[in-house]
Amino acid sequence: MSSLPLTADGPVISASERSARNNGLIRAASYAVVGALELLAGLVRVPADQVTTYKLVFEGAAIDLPDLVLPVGGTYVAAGLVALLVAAVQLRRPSDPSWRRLLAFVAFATIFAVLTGILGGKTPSLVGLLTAMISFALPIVFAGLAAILCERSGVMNIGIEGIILLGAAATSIGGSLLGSPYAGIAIGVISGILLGLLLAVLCIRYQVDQIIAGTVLNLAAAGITTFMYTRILQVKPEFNDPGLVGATPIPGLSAIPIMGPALFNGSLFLYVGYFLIIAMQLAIYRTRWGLRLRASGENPKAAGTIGIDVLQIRYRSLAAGGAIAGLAGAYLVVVSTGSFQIGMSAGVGFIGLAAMIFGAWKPIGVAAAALVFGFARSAESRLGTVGVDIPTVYLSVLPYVVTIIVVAGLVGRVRGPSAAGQPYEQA
Amino acid sequence: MRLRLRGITKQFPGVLANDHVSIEVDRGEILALLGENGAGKTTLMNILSGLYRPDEGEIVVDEQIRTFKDPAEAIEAGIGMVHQHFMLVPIFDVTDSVTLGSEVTRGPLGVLDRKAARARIVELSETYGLDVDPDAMIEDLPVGVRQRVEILKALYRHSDILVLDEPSAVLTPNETDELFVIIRSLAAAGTAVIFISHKLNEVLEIADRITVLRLGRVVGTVTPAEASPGRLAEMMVGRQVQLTVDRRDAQRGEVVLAVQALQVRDDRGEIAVKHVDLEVHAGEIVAVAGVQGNGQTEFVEALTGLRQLDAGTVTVAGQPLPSDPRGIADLGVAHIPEDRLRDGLVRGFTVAENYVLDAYHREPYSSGIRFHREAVATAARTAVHDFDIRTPSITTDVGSLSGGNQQKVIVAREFGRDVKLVVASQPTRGLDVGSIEYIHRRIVQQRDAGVAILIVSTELDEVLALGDRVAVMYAGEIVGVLPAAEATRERVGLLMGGVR
Amino acid sequence: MTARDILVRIRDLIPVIVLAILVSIANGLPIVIGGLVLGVVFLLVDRVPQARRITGPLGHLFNRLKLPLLAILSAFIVGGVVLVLSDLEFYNKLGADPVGTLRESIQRVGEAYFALMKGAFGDPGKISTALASGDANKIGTALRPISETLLATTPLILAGLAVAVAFRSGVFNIGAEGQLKIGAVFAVWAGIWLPMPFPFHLIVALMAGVIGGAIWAFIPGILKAKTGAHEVITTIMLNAIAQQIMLALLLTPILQPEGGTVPISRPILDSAALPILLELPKIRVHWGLIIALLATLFTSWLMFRTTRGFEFRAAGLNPRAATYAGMNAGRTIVLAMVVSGALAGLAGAGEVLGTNRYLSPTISPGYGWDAISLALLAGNRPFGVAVAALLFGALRAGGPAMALATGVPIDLLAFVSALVIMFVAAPRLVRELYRVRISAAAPHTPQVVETPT
Repeated sequence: MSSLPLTADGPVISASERSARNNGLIRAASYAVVGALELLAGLVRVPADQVTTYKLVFEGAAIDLPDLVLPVGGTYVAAGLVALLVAAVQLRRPSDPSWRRLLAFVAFATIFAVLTGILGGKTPSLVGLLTAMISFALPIVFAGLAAILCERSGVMNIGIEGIILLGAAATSIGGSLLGSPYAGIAIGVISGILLGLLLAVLCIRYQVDQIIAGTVLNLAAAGITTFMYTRILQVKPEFNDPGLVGATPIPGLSAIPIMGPALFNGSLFLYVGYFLIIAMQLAIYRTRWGLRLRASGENPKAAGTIGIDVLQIRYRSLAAGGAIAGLAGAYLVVVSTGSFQIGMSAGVGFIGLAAMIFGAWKPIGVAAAALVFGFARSAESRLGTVGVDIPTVYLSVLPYVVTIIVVAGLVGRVRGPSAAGQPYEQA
Repeated sequence: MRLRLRGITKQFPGVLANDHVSIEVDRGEILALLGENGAGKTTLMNILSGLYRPDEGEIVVDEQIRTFKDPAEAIEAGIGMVHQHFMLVPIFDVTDSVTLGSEVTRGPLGVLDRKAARARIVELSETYGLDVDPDAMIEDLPVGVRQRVEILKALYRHSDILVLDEPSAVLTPNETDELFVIIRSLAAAGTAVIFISHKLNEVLEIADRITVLRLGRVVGTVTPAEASPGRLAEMMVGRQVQLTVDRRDAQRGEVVLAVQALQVRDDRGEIAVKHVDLEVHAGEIVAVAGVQGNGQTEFVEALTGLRQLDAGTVTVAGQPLPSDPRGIADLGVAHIPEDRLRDGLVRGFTVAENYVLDAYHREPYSSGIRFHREAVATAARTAVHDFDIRTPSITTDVGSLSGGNQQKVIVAREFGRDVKLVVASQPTRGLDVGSIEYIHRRIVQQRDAGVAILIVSTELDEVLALGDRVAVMYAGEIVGVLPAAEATRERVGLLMGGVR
Repeated sequence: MTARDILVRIRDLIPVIVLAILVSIANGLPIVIGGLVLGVVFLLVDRVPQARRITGPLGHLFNRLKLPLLAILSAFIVGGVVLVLSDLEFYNKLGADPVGTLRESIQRVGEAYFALMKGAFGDPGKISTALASGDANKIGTALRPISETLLATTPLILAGLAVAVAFRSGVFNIGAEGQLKIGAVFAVWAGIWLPMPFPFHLIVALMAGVIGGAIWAFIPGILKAKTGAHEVITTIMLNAIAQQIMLALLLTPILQPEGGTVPISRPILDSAALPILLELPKIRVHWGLIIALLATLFTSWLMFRTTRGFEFRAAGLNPRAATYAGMNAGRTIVLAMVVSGALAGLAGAGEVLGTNRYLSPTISPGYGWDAISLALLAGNRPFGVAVAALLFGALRAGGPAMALATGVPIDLLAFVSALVIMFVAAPRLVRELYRVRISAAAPHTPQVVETPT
């Protein structure tokens, strides 16, 4: 595998391979610790008779399933066993590149166990939880996909948060003026494209530092949307009423027990989301466009000498990324709330960045990461209504902590597109 | 298929890289471009491949004058370039790397047809004897194989003209032999090959004709039959007036720098310095000649703490070389780095601040946490005076000084210490004649004061002018050490070209 | 002079002409006319060939101020345009009487900015009458605007210094917001739970804030030093985490008053409070300002008169040469972040111990983000930071007054200040717009190098 020579004692392991192995061992140890804690909680600390009853029924279900009664202790034990199993797998193959999937697995199991534990004695609706998970995850997916497009072309776009916010505002105002939420969505997407191009012009033509440009975009977006809201929308609420886009259930599929409503009874955004994930995953790795995109982000000089127009690729990627971010903003308005609210992006752009990193810059990875983060958020909101605070904090900071751990490479090699963040000079 | 470059001229700020250069090559012919650093070979090839535009002159392909706006147009015209520093994406595999930019696709959406691409690559590699695994990742491939990928890139685009820029610089002798087989088969199949090199033996072995460049001009074109290594070396390095530096004979003292069996790897993990034994005595100047890329940079970096030693030992005045730059400096080693703005100076700092860059943490410039600007200013003013540094003031940003004066700041700083050994790498690169003279004088002054001096330079004139002993570095080894009296241009030129 | 030369000269004069037109249309307001005339004069001066030869300290200052001043001017102009275009009445009236409507609109913009200035600095007439009268109430009311400005300037100076130190040392610390909040949390905790006599309690509480901020900045620092983690990502994430931690703690007994449900902490003990500077009614500016000014001196001393500061600056300008000169890159990164976080934590402490005397979620209306803007505006120079902080403080303080007087929402100023950074960070753009000679070198932001793990 490596190009280093064989010595008498066996193959010389390169430094990077050694560090990948060490990271794997650290991960295995962490999972083991988590697993042990969960086992401890399950077997010793939790009262043996405490159960959480997950309701699995919903309207229009194909089959009416009975309630899922989970003993809290048992759930903890199960989660603990999962963590230990993953730890064993990781121990056996420390440098396996699919470590992120294993991490997601453990995270999911742990969140579920914690949630079950805290909801002990109550009867939450599992279907409701899952639906909330998807609806939280969706804007994260859009944000993450937008981030991937930009960063893969070599531009680090931390201004996605701003584009989402402005896209939301544009959707609301546009939809209200034009009288239809769909028109509003179109306006939102167009505004995203324009903002993406603005960022591109600033970074490429005027050589503004990419981080500064993104930060400026976020701050300016926050300022001007709040300004618009106070000055216009509060006075004329008819400009802030684009209408809602309802759910479009897929017949048959949406009646699948447990997962049906969550996965197949969503707005058109959900289906667009599915399409984008699959399309981008295929496009990036299987098309000419994707190959050139990746080349621009990894080694723009190599691409340039072979005749590829790197700058044009960057402009287009930023525009496309902006479009998807605008779509995220539109989603927030026409599906979630029905109107624009101040600061409604609420950090989704940044979580999208986190999902991109956690998802290893792959669309499928972003989707998985978004599910984990979405699950955490849906659990958090559920707990919020129950009135618990400390564990809520753990859930709400989970995406950020995980991202830091991933970025720090403490738990694995992180490699973003090599040229991201640096301006490219075309001769 | 005939390529002609007529009267190509290209001027860069301060340097005339190509001065009315004309070359020509036919299909099936292997033309070697021979020259040392600064001869203008790479610039010429960059013009040919569309990266630069010439100020004057024209490119004629098959009796048609062509202008290339960008590399894509050059590629379209049939020119394929294999750069000295590979243009590859490490995480791509061979198939993607070769087809990037001219991908094989299926259908309107541009879906990559990997099977067809793979097949074509296999076909090409079999035809030309380029053994390559189409599914291997670039980052896993050794250098010799990466070069084959670069060649495949050109062949894949039906290049009629293949330009190879110092291809054997990164290859082992075996790999070089394999490369030559490939080149000959390419030529036999009708490709015109331009082979850029500074290695005399190789050029004599592979080329049908050899054009020698020196200082941006064509010196002459010969065939291997007409040329001996000696003649080529003479053409390559010329018979210019030597820069004479007034100096007495050296008074040698003890060994200060002892290098034994040194082996150093480069950034890619390949061995750059294979095996170096060298000694430098107090009071003498050992000047190491050689064309850029033969391991000199890594050699100096190992001596000055910027790179780890792979094997071998280095001692300074009997002490083993410490691993950190500050420890090495404390041992009495002064370093004039090859890239003054990157390694030796902090642009944005003043002249005074740069002057104390090595000693800012010691008395009299600092006591504890306090930094004494006045002491620094005083010392800097003295240095500016003593070393004749032309600067509006000591608080001027060092970046706005001319190259010569920047170098003088470094020299003032390094020589201002108590030094036993000076390691100077390309000490007068890019400087005007006056500064060159000044720096040379200072170096000799140090030598006469009993300091051991090691100079590494690609400027043969400088080496011959300063060296009490002249060593030549080639392919990671010292291939010869000659006392000044025996170090003639011709002999050194031969060694630089790899001829023992 | 060829036709081309003439065209170039005409193009050069366009920005001047535009400004002059605005002056002629504008209706009477001194501030607007004054500002525009200044702009015209400025641009003309820059074009005069003799102006190019001004050297020495005055010329140096002129050159350095060109970009920031033009950036501010441009940002306010764009803000004005937004203000005009967002007035729904504007569109109705435009058809009927274009010139008059435009005039009126510009006047309204002028009124808004004028109210902003009055809200930030006060009315000179009112101030002199109040001082003459000797009535404490009147003086307090007259001086309140400038005191509110100084009140807002205090945390901005500290946070700005934090960012400037980091940027200068080559670390892209955009986590000042989070470091400020954690510092505030630590400080308020110390202020509530460590009873001690004044001034020890105050000093301890301030130190707690410093430690809190330092810890929060240490994390990304050590991660970058040891693992090469991209500090922009880590600091952004830590900002978000800090926000959550702060909100959560505000609801726990650690900070909550008895039986409280609102996320506001209990008040600090009096012994930990920062005393007011001027005992006048309505004046709130406190000793935090003095601390901030001392911090400016400290930062200047640190960066230019200590060995550490020398190392910070070298690492920020050329990390490779710095390592080569023997400096320890990892240690420099961590130390720079710790100093930076300490300053940001001090900003948070000042807010919690002086301005508010309790902690609430609104402790920082984005001071950490303003800090980035003003550090860039000031070219990362400590004294420049203090001046730039005054400008941003004026915006913060004057905003509510502007909103009250003219109904313009304060968020316009957030938008304007974001534009200021954009223009400062894009000198090429400013150069093209105004056709002035500005070095195209963008302000020095740390070059983040991805170190392979």
